This record gives sequence, C-alpha cells and structure tokens, in this order.
Amino acid sequence: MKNLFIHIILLISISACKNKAIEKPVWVNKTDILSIPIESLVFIADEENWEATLLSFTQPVPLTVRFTNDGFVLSSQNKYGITEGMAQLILSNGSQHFYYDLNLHNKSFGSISEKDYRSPKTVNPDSSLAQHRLLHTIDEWRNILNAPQQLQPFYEDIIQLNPIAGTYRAQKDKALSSFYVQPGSATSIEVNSVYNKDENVFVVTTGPLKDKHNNTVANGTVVAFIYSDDEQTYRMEAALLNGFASVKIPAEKNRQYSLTAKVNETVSKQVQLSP
Amino acid sequence: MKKQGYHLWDEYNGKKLLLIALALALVTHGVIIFFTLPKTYDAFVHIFFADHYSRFWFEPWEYRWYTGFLTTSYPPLVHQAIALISKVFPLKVAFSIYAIFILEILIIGVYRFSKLFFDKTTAGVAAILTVLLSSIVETLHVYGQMPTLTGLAFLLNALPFLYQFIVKRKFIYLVMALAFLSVVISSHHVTAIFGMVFFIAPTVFMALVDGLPKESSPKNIFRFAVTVVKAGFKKYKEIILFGGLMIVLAVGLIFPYWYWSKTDPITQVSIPHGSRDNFFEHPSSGLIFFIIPLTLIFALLPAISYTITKQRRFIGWAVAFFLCLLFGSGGTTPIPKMMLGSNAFNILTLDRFGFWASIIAIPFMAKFIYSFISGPVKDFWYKNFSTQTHFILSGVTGFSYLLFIIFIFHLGTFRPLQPKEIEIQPMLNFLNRDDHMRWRYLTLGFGDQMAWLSANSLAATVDGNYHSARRLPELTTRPVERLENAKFSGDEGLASLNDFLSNSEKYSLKYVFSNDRYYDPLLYYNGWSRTIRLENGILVWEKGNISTIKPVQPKEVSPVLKKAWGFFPISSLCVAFLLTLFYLKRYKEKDYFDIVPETNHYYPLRVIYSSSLLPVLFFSGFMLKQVYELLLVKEQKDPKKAVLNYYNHLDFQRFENAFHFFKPSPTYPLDQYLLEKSVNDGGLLPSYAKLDSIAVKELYRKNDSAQLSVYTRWRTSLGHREKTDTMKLVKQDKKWYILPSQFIPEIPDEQMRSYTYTLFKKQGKRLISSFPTVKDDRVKKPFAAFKQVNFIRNGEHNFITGEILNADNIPVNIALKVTVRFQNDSTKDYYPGTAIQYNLSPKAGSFFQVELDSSKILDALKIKSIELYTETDVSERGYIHGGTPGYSVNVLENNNVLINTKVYNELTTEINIPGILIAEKDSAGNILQSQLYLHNTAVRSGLNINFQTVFKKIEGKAQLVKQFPISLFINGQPRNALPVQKDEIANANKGIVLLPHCFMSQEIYLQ
Repeated sequence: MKNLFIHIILLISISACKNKAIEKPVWVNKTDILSIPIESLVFIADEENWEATLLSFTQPVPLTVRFTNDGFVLSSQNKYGITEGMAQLILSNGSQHFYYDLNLHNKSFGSISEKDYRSPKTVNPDSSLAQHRLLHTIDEWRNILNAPQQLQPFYEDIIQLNPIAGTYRAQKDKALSSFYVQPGSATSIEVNSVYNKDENVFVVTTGPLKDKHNNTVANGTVVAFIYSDDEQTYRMEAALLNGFASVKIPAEKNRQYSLTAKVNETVSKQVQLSP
Repeated sequence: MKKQGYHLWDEYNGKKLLLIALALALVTHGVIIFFTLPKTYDAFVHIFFADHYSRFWFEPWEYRWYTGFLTTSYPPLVHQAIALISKVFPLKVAFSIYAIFILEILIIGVYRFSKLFFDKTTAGVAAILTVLLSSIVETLHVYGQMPTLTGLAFLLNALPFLYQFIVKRKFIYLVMALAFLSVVISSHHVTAIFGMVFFIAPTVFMALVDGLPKESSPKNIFRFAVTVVKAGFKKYKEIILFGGLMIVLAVGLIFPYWYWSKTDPITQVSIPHGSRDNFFEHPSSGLIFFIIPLTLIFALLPAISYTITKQRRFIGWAVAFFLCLLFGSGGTTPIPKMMLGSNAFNILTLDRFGFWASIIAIPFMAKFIYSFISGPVKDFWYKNFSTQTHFILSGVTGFSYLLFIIFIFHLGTFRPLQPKEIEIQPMLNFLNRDDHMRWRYLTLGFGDQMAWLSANSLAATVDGNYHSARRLPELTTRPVERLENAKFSGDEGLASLNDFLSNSEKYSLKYVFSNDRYYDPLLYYNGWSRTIRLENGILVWEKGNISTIKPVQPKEVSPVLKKAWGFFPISSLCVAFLLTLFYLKRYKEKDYFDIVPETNHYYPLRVIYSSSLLPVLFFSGFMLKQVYELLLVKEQKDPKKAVLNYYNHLDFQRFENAFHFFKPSPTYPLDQYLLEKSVNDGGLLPSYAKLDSIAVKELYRKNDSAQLSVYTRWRTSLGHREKTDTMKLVKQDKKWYILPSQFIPEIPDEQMRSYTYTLFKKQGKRLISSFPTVKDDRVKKPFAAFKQVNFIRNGEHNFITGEILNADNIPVNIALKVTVRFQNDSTKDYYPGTAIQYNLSPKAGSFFQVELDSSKILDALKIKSIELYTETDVSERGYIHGGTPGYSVNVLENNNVLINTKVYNELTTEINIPGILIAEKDSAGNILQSQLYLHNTAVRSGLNINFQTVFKKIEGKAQLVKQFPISLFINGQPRNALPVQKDEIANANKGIVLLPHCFMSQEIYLQ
C-alpha cells in the first residue's frame, strides 16, 4: 500500500508539471495603423525563439524576427502592399501565442486597374439582350479606390448587347467583361423527307433552324417528330446539331404517315410520308 | 451411484482447466474474430459509436446519422473503451482486441459463477464449455453484440461477490459486487435491468438458502418458503443496502441515458424481428434465434432439468432458466407476449433471453459433461456397455459438435447475412473531394457496412443503424430497420425509402451509393442521375438542385451531464480493475467458497440415457441435414418441385443451376440457354425484381409429361408486378425436366446500327482551387417556364398537375415543390413522385403531377393559397428518355380506356425499362392527371415492343379547382404560366397524350 501511495503521489506530481508562463512582449513603437511595407516593430521580451505572423483578413504574412539584447525587432521582406483592413499580429513562443489587434494600410497604391463586372453573364434573345455593368477601380493589392472621374467607388450602367450568338471574350485588362449570347428559339421549322429504299426508312430532316436574329438554334434542342397513320400516333425525338435534326422512320408496306416537327410550340407544316 | 473418491476438490484442476479455456479462446476466437467481424450484425454499429467517442469524447451530439442524435441513448462504456484502444490501433483491430479481452473475462466469470453451484473442476469444465458454446459463438461471431457480452462477463463476476456478501456480511464483498455491477450498468442497461431478475435475484435466494442452518430447512415447500423469507428479513440490512446502492449506481452512472429516455421518449413503431416470430411458421428465424444457440441446451435438457430442480437452493435458477427459455421461444406460443405485455414484447429482441438461459445452464451442462467424461456416467457406460461404446459415443458427439461450431463460425458464409465486403476507400475519396460532404448521402445494399463507412468519414447520412435514436417521422412511423436494406422491409420499407428519395431536398440528400441495382428504377424515376461508377463497383447517384446541409441545432445537454457521461462510465471500469488488484492482494481467501454445499453425482438412468444420446443425435442429425441439403436433395422429384426450384435459382441469378432443370439435349447446351436468355431477357422483372411469391398449378399430367401454370408475384422497387407463365415438363431418369420454350429470334435488319447523340459536358469550376464552389460558376441557373399548372380534385384525391418547359439551350434537371398555405398560416410541402421527367433536353417539356393530402385533411385545414417552387440546375445526364412510342386509344367501360402502345427502340442501346408518361387532357388542353407506366421487359436496339395499358380517365368526374391562387416561382423569381393551348393530338386520342420515359442501364453517360 505504501508503494502504491508513493506512485500515486509521483503521478500527480508529474501531471502537475507545467511550462513556465511567458510574459507578453512589450511593443515599444506600438501603433494602431500599421503601414506596409513594415520598417521595424520593436519589442521588449525576456525570452528568445519568437516567431511572428501578421494575419490580415485574407492571408497570413510571416515576418522576419531579428533578436536584440533586450528583445526583438520585426520587419517584412519584399512585402510592399496588402489588402487593407483589420488584422492581427501574432507572436508565438512554443505553444504560447500573443495577439495584437491593428489595422493595415498601404503606403502606396502600386499599379491601378479598372474592373468591369457584367450581369447576367449569359443573355438569350428570347428574353433580353440588356446587360447590367458595374465598374470599379482597384489598386495593385485589390483595395477598392474611388473611380478617377466619379469620386465614388462604383459606377453602373446598362448596355445593350449584340444579338449575334457567341462567346464574347474579355476586353484587354478587363477579365470579367466576357459574356455569352445564346441563340433564341426557332421561329419556323422546315421539314424534308426522303424515302430510302435500301434501308426501307423515311429519312426526315429539319433545318437549318434559326432564331429571330438568324442565329442557328442551339445544339441539343429537342425536335419532336410527331407522325400518325390511321391507327396510331408516334412521337420520335431527335436533338439538333448545327441547326439540323434528322430521324429515320421505319417504313411499312401500304402505310402512309402524316408528319409534323415540333420544337416547343413552334410547329412545322404537315408533310406526308409514303414509300 | 455414490461418490467414489473422485478428486472433485482438487485444488488446481479447476484452475488448470480455466487456463486451458483461456488459451483455447485465444487461439480460436482470437484468431478468427478479425475475419468474422465484417459479417456480424452489430459490430460496425459499436465501432461507429466508438469512433464518435474517439473524436468527440465529451460531446454526445452525433450529427452523422438521422440528421443528428444523442449518443447518450446507449450506455457508453464499451464504445469508450474501444475508442481508447483505437488511439493506438485501427478501429477494427481495437474492436477485436476488446472482444478478446471481454471473452477472457467472460470465461473467468463463468468459472467463478459455476463455483457457486459445483466444485472447481466442474467450474473448469464450464469454462472450457464457454469457449465452445454455440450461443456465445453466435453472439460474438454472428451478432457482434459486444455490450451484451461485456455486461454478462462482469455480471457473472459480480455474482460470487454478492453471494458472499449476503452469506458472510463482509463489506469488501459488497464493494466488489457493486464495482463489477457498475461496469454492467455502464456497458449494457438491458443486461443490468434483466440481470436483476434472472441472475441477481436467484443469487440472493441461493445465498439465503445456503445461510440457513441445516436443521432449520423444513421439507414442506411452503414452510421452506416461509423460512427463506424470514432469513431474508434477518438480512434485510444487507439486501436493502445492496439494493439501495445498486439503484443509486444504476441511476447515477448513466444518468444522461435515463434523462434522454425520459425527455425524448422513443416513438419508433415496432420493427419486426425474427426472434419474435412463431418458429414453426418461420423455421429460418427458429434456426438462427433458437436452434443454433440452444441446441446443446436441448440435448442436455434432461440432465439440466434434473440437476436444477434437484436442490432447493437452485429454485431461483430453475425459475430464471425456464422463464428465459420460454421468452426465448419468441412468438411460438402466446405466453411470452402475455407475460411481457405487448409493448415490451414488440420492443425487445427475445433471442437475448435464450442466450441468458444458455448461460444459466452452463454449470449444469458442465456437471453432466464432466460426469460423462470422467465421472459416474462414464462408469455407467463402461459397466453396462463397453469402453469402446463410450469412446465412440464421446468421439462422434464431440466431433459432430465441433463441426456444428465450425458451421456457426462460418454461418455468415453459408447463409449470407450481409453483402460482400465493400472497399470503402473510393467512397471516402469521393466524399472528401469537391466538398461533397456538404450534402448528406445514403447507402443502398451495404448491410451493416454502412456503419463502417460512417465511422471512417465525417460526412452525414440520413440513414443510420440505431433505430432507438432516430426521430425522423419518415422512419419512426414505419417498421423499417434501415433505408439501405428497404427491400427487405416490404412495402413499408420501399415507401419510406421513396419518401427520402423524392423529398431529398428536405434532408439535403444529394448522393446515393448504390450496391444493389434493385433500386435503380426507383432512383431513376425519382429524378436521380448516375454520376460515376467508383473503383469498387459502387454506383454513385446524384440529385440536382439540392441545398447544402442546413445547421441543425443539437439537442441541449447540460455541460455537467456531458462531463458525467465522459467520466463516470469509464471510471467504473478503472475502479473495478483497481479494486480487483486490491482485493486479490489483500482479501482473496483460499477456500472462500467452502460454504457452497457439495452436490452428489447421481443421475437417474433415463437422464443418463437421454442426455448421453440426444447430443449425438442432435448434432450428427443437424450436420447430416446440412449435407443432405447441400448434396442430396432431390430438386426435380416432381413437376411442381422442379418448377419451384428452377425459379429459386433464377431469382438468385444462379443461371447455371437453373439451366440444369432443362431437358438435356445436344442442341440446347448452356451456351444456347445463356444466349437466348441474353437476347430475350432483360427489363424490370428479370433484372430489377425479387420473387415475392409463387404458385404452381398443374394443368395436365400424363405418364411422363406435364403442363403447369406458374403464377409469380415480383417485388420491384416501384411496386409489385404479377406474371403467369405456362411450362411443359417431361420425366427422364426419375427427374422432371422443363422443356425450353420455342425461341423465335427477332433480329433487326441492319448489320450495324448508328445513332447520333448530342452529349453535354459541364466545364465546372473556372479556377482550380480548394475553395468551395457550391454552384458551378460557368453556367447560369437555366431558364424554365410553366406551360400550365392546375389544382385538380378527384373525390378524395387532390393533386397539382401541369407541364413544365426547359426554356434554355442546355439540359436541365428540375426540382418541384408544392407548398400549401393554410388558413392558420401553417404550411405543408409536397414533392412530385415518379409522374414527371426530372431531366429535360433543351426546349423539351414534361407533364407532372404532385399528390397532395386527401380532401378531408385539406378541407379541415382550409387552404389559403398554393405556391409552386421550381429550381433548375445544369444537367449533363438524364435528359435522353429514349424510344419512339406510338399509341392508339380504345374506349372501355367505366371511364376506362385501353392504351395500345408500341415502343420502337431507335437508339444503339437496349432500353431496359420501356416506359411512358401518360397525361389526360380535357378538350381545352388542361392536364387532369399524369401517370407513369412501365413495361416489364426490355426492348433491344432496332426492335419494337407492344404493350397495353388500362388507364382510368377522370374527365367529367374530376374538378379543376380555381378558387385558390397558385403562385409560381422559378429559381426564386415569381413567374406566370403560359396560356393553355388546345392539344389536337390529345383530342384525336380521347384526351390521352404521352411522352417516352424509359430507363437504360448500360450507357450511364446517356442517363
């Protein structure tokens, strides 16, 4: 029993061991607004082995630590700008961390660029060709600036787009100005049929299907070929490719069909299929 | 038969046997447990709980199952202990290590428990018997019920301490008994509760009887009872002290469990369990839950009954044993239900009672076995027959019993209880990438391995494997064990699964991992699209327009209770361990069981004969039956049997076995059968159905030929189907063979078919980054439009019908939701089922129908308004619905019409399930109803198939309700329906119009 108690006390003693508490370093040239690039941040501290990180709201920035007799000095290497805003300076020594709240501010803008956002990115002549544009200016480190002319950060307007379907690539230096114009719905459907004696099928073709701006109707648009004889009504579907859709309808002896092609509510004229 | 100087009290015989038992357990169970583990019912559930504690020790909220539940719903000790071991070893190994430890403790428990009854050598035999007892083997290797075994192991170890406390009144025994019982409470509450009745009460009774002076034990049973009661009163302090402390521990140690069961009572309707079946009506349940665990008990029942009823100190055990045996018989007799009450009967799994009966019987069986091997019973056989007779009897019994035990070890292989082992790494990779974890998933056809997947992932599923904890009404209102094995729960199971698959938005259910193609039609026709087949063969299904998981507020549990849950149960194990060391060092007495009265070794002749011969009959009979079923059963004895067995093989897709039922012929080899089958067969019934019932009627039989009508009822994931076939059979060499039906090949004219598909590919993210892109950023939300929306009332039936159009240039998938707003400002959501095409090609449209509640309910709640919400999402798949349907309509009686459909397959792939989406329109073009009809057999490329459908029209009976405003929203924006137009095609076909809606299984890039 005596041994048991000694072991228990030893275990408690071991578990009671803790690292010595480290005092928070004193920031000598403390400031609430930290300008980038950082020249030197001076701290007084008893301990060595400090690591420092500047945590902006978008990214962590490691800082260089130079130790002195009574503390250390922080600086940043090759960091000339940052996304401005609230940040924290974190000083770490082993498992202990100390936090200092501050605001980041750049000393210069660097290069300035304009941003051009468009919405919707995709337009369809069936609905509207209007596009809402939002313009603004940012500096090299993505901080929003007042536009040079308007003295306000954002500017918006409505632009009418070309009705020709296609992928409109971005203007130079305006990566977000790209947009897509889709073709609209077919305005009319032309149907042609040919009887193929070798295969004993009717080859029925529609196309080219165009929208009201003469764009070729989109690939994959489903065309329903509805044909009937005296007994039954059939529905065969095909997808458009480059404005054309084609189906092969099996022919039977002495059987005639009347056929219409349909895309949504647009219907072709009726054609007769007979061998 | 007197005691003849056998060394029953030899000091070390018992311990030697115990050591042999412990070693035997290590080399048998220890070696095999890791391999039997994946095939057990419960092991993975406990591993999942262990994983929970390994990750979140002090947080009882587990979000991964059922949209969240509290782990305080199950005593935690076993799971916490495995969690601790899993810090060093992988989870499966940790479970195996824990299982081996518990088995060793159980063997020691049985040894100590048996010493309460008989001498140490008999206890040693009992320890060896424990290693080989079928009920233990089954509980460990078939059920994987670790909490039950843990509870029992510690309970049996506690009983000798309790016994001695009552007899000797020493405080240390009370402390030790309570320490062990604390572990029982912390590991399995059911064992603790029923253990009080079936183990603790008989122990106390036995201690009281043994404490009586020999001269004060009256022969009259009533006087004896009075004497025992008086003795009990004399020891009331001990009994009350023990009872009081036991209640304090039972409540205190797992208080969060009691708190949970009180504040969040189980609402689950009873789930059928084989242990409650009538075993005569369901022999397979009887085999698993009664015969296999209790065969040895039945074989030795004469000896057990004789010994257990011979001494008055065993009365409590006799009552407990026979009661457990009775309860273990499930619903075979009405008595267990009458005694337990229907509530308890329907909640409890009754096989555990049989298991406890087998444990109580161990000392009594050991006594007879010991006597048979080297005691008076052996002498009897030597004397009256010969040593050879005894040797043969022992050898055959032992050998057949060992074969029986090996059979149980491999029960999961002989009678597969679980699907084959599934490699989970591909699914983990899938869940980890592209933020798939932000939605819930569901597994289908995984068996209990779904818990293993859960244990290895932080992703959440709507399903789960612990039904006491679930609270989702779709699950609690139906007797469904799990969604993943819904097909085994009949119509209720599939209805429940259907609820989740169609209302998936409600639960953010976006992915299904399917290991069973049985569910393919249900998934497809509920708007799910196949995404990818993983390396392990698992098919991943996905549904579009599903929101990410919304935060669920965990159920509030006091921080104190959380800490108590994390500390107390595991502390009970530590305390029991430390106290045991302390006890062994300070208090262990050499002959501390010297108060146990000696039992003589007499057995009457009838007991000797029956208990010596029954085991050999039972076990060799059982094994011979297995061999007979495997090799010698005459499957083609008569025409009916031949047809039934043929369908059985067909149902399990054992095509080679099925082929052997056809008349042998050089012109009809296996190749030809398989070829004809591949050409003719396919479709909903042959590929996606399970045979539900079969009835065979003999139409004609003369000499060696017969003709039979076969009615089959099939269960598919989309409902029942029926079929009637006629088969001709002939007799040859005393066997009945089926004559293959005439094969009429149907081959398209062309040598090679071609078809032009337009396929789409989403480009996905604009940037390669790990930052989550919940919605694809390259393509906008596609346009859609409502062509019409109607509220239809047809008697008690109400539904919203209409037609929706994909107005965009890309394929879309569509999610519909009807929200009915009532006068009291409450709302209820309804989702479409199978009567809609969820995926649409550019400019394609679909009819739809969304079922609402009955008129009675809607009128009682009073509808204020109706809102119809549609979300659209870009689709790569699912928009090809296949086939060219042609149709004509004939009018039948009672407003029925006959739709004659001919589906032509112009595609290059087989249409596995030809289907049509039928709409009934009035003369103005309003859709009155929409229904899906599926044909049972497939149609191959280039061929036609004809089928007829009787369709009940509702025009003239149904009412187009216009009094409630219907607001339409597409992608959150309010929209108006387009003007309704007359449909000339419908008007020319008696108001019927249809769209193709077929399922193709092969080219998953098409659908």
